Amino acid sequence: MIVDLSRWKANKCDEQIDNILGKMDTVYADNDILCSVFKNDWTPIPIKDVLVPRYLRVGYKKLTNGLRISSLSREEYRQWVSKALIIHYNLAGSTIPQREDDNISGKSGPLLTGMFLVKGQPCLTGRAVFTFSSFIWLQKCCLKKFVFN
Amino acid sequence: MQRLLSHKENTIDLNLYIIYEGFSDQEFRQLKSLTEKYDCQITFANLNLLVPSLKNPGIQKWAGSLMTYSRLFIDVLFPQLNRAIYIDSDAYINHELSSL
Repeated sequence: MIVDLSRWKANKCDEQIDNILGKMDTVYADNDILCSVFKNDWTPIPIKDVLVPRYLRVGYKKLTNGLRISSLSREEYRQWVSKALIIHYNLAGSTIPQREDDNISGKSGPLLTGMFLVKGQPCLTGRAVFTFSSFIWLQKCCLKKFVFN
Repeated sequence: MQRLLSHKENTIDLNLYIIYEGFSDQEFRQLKSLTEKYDCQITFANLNLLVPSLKNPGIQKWAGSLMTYSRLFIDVLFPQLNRAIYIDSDAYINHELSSL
């Protein structure tokens, strides 16, 4: 997360956070609070700079321009991962670099339920979009496995 | 952090700000030693001591800790900064970051 703290202070975001903290019903803690305070004032970092491997799995259009891991060869996936300045393994706190399924080997693994920051939309909508995308992706993977294996 | 420092270019002034809770003396020493090796500034901020709002009883812990809220208080913890790159501890630094 790249933060313009001058703007943060000018917009009195600290007061907004204080007003929400402990009162808002959150599912993903800080993420939900950020969604609420900055819902119309954020820009995604290009994946060439910060890559979350899970994002490639679901191919969320606003974050990856529709790029989806299922359309990439293993070599292409390796290239994306090796070029990114930062690889952030986390999504809702369940993934770490040491986990085999999140390693840059490109092996597939279990999906997470989690949330996305969705520009201009409340976080619940983002979560629903993500969960539905994950569900469809899972169905496709299962189908491929059972049909072609 | 090791990866971040190893990619640091000599011409870049890198200042690291670590938000923590419950570091041991040994961990402090290790981190300071690492940054000295790479000629880099490091500043520590104890989240629980410096952010009074976290004492609100309505705040839910995440995985047993309040650390997940730390990035909401970067302006409180480090008021001297105008711009910051927040990096979670589960991020892997692949290249030098000055372009960000």
